[in-house]
Amino acid sequence: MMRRNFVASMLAALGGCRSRGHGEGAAPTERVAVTFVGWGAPEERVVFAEALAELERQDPRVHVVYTQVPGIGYDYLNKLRLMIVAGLAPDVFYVPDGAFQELVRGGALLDLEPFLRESTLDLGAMWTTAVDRYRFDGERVHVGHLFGLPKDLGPMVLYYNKDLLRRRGVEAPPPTEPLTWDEALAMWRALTFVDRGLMRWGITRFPYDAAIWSSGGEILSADARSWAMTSPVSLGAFQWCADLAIRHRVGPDPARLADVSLGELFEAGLAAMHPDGRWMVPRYRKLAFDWDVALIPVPSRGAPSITRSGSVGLAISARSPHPKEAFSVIEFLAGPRGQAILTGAGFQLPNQRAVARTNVFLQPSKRPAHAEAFVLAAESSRPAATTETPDAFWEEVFSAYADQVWRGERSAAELFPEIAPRINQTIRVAFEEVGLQPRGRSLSQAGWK
Amino acid sequence: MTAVSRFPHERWWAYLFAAPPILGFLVFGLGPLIASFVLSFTRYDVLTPPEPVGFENYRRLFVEDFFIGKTLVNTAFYLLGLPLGMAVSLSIALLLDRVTRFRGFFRTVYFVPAVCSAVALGLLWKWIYRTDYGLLSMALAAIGIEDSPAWLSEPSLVKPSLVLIGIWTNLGYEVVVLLAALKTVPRQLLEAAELDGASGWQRFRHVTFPAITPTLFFISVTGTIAILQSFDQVWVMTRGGPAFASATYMLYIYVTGFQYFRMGYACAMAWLLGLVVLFVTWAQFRLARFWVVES
Amino acid sequence: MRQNALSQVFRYGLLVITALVILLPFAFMVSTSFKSHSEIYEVPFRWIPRRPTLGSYEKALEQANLLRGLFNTLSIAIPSTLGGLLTASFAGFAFAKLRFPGRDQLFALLMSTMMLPAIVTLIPQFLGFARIGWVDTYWQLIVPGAMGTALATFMMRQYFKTIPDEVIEAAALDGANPLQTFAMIILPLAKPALVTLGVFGLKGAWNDYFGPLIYIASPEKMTIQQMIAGTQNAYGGEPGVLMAGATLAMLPLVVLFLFAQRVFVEGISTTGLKG
Repeated sequence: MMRRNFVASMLAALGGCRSRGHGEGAAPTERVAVTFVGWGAPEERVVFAEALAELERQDPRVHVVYTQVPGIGYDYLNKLRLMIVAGLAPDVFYVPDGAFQELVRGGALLDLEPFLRESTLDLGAMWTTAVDRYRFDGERVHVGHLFGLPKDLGPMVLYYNKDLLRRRGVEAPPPTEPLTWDEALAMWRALTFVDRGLMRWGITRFPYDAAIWSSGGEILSADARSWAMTSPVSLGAFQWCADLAIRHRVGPDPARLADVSLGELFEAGLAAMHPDGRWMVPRYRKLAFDWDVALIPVPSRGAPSITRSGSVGLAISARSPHPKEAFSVIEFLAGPRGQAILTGAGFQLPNQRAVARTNVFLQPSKRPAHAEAFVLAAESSRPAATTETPDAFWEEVFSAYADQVWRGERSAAELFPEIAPRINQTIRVAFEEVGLQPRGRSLSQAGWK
Repeated sequence: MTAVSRFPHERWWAYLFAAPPILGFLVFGLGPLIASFVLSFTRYDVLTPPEPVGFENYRRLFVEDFFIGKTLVNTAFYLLGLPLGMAVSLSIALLLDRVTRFRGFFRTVYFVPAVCSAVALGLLWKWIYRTDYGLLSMALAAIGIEDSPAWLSEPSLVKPSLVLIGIWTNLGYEVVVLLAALKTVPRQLLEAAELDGASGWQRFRHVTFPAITPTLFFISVTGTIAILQSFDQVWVMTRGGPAFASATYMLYIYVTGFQYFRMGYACAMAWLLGLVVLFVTWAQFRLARFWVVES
Repeated sequence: MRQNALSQVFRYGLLVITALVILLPFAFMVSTSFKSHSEIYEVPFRWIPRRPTLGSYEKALEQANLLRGLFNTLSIAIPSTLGGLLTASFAGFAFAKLRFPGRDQLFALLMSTMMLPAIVTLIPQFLGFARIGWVDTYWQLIVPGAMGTALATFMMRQYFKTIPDEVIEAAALDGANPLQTFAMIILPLAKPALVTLGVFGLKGAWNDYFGPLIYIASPEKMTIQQMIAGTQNAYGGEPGVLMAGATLAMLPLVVLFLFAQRVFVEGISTTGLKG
């Protein structure tokens, strides 16, 4: 205790003065200015403006100062972390589910439980998997109090090029029932051909986590403390994915992928199918060829299609001077009305199950024609394995080594047991690094009444 | 002669003038140095206050962390490129020293890579090393070798490929330095040796080489320090891949500290690097007595 | 001694080959930058594009915002270099010519910082800057350099030491204070050293990548090096844009070099000799 204070005070002395960030105090009018920062494509800015305007109509206490940072989230996360340290964090900000654990363990997020008790927000109307991602009980994530509200859910589906399928006489996969691996393989074989000197493949790459989970395997142990991909089921599932390119040759030669990304192959019409998330829809709507979506195939008929889904949450800064007003903002944006507005841009599945089933989301006049596949995929989806650990370094290590399996140089059965000790050590270090940290603070702990 | 100040209040003027770097030293040098040392005994994720953990970081560093070993091995490999590059540069410098015309032109051309940034050169060479369409592969295809290797994605090839870039980049700089050094070779000795019937190689070995050893030593010391801290080019070209085959120590520090914000551990890593640099430099100075000729 | 004509030819030949080895990559870069996307992947390879196009440059400058990047880099490079020259000159003068207690010890202390790798101090600097609210700004990159680096101070001191003491004493006798002495007598004499330090300082700031990488987060604030490194993400599949970016990033310094060759060459040659 004494040592910690000594170290902290030494560092405080060396760290210089701290500027205090405040949300602007009560403006000349009664409205409180709540700063809100997110990122996204320019099209999203329009729907956000609409949503926030309606919020301000409904709640006269609040005025939202919304800043949209261009680009993708991870540039912003680094900056957000530093802004939190400097006391300059906005009141409300995006928290991708992959960054949630780190931020909540660091005490950067406000416990929403007290607000939820007095709110009419119906958590039950939201996808359970989306809500649980933002829970933390002081020790583990995905259980406990809510520290963020899901803004959306981004399930993974199989995009397919209808024009190519038609050309090869392949029947389109059903949107509500996943194909089996054998059926899918046969389909991809039919879609792999040489077209005037150009190689066209059936599929870009199969997501290995979906393959493992649908086979009943796991990536991490239940407590997320060790790596579980050395089990026969997981090994087999991963190898099957790699074999698509290596043995069955229905996927691109991994050496080719050094120059061009999987998505680019699909967009260029060089791969007939491509598993990806809902966020690609606005971009794909600009594609010249006709396309649709189906569920990710499963190992055998009747097996559940468990795929990965991404999500971004809305959180309140633990040091926000306006927690009540900030909550009003995220309550609206995560609620049925706000979600209905935000969904219009087409980027994400709303967090509200009911809204997802309406045409606000399904948008039958626009591609994909069978958007219900997203709804079905969402129901049985899981967050990425990296959300279970304090950071994703182990996954980076794994990917670096796994490349050898993707390229057919080693088999998964050979390589994974070899690298397991390293991955386990990396996971262990990740937990050690946060093991001594103070727990996420609830409102009462942080000194608010 | 007593040290009398020439100006009124000379010492105050002096303190004023010297203040900025001294202040800079305290604020950006000594302060952070101490802080970094203290932090290396803590766990610090930036969001919460540092948590002291004794020698745990160092234990992990020396005993457990397999990446440390991997990156140090990689760095040792990269260091091998230094003598190789010096040999090439020396050869070119010797040639250039013997020609009378266009010396400035050649020197200018060779030096161009030295003003370019590691990032820009990294992008360029990544494109040159591109399988099938890069300059190197196409050159090989032109002489009949169709199967171009994956220079940067083959674990066994990536380090030599990067070393090649290093030699290419530093050629001009080393040539300029060596040319200046060659000018200091005593002419009379060379002529005397020639009169005595010494061959070109003998003249080089006994007259030229000893005279330039201080400069070679300088290149060796500064080059080693630079290689031990290299980051930019590898980061831009391979991110340390494939499977950490090209990763440098600095790269690992960057990822640890600035991507995963394990600041305490990153400080420990930084101190280890500092000690390695000091040790290697000291070792080079000690070894110098065996080959560097004091003028 | 008569040179053997054959060996001269041999020598020139090797030197020319070396020159080609140095230049060909740059030619490849420029050639690619002027090719249309499809032509880049055409076989057989042509050095001169069949239909040269500025498309890649347009993309690089506008879409990838490299023009902004060039400007941003100048916003950092110029203040930090100029500031650094000023402070290093004053301090170098003080350490070289003025007398004050603790002068030599302070100087030795200052020089000791050059011993350790930058990374040892960089992490706490980074944390310190964050604590005082300097997040995603240029101050972190300008201030440390502008306050006078140990190396620059060292070099200016070396240079000033070559000025005879009598000059200083004469000025003092004339009643000038150190500031006047510095401004009117010393500084004009220091031009060569200042130019050398200035050129190398600019080069270092222009080519710096690690500093901006850790301190600058907003895409529109990034320096040219950060931006061209970042083009790999958005334009990974378009070598033309990457090469246009690389060319743009290199060009200013190469031009500077061509105009100020002597400064570069002499600056480097002398440090090499000092050993």
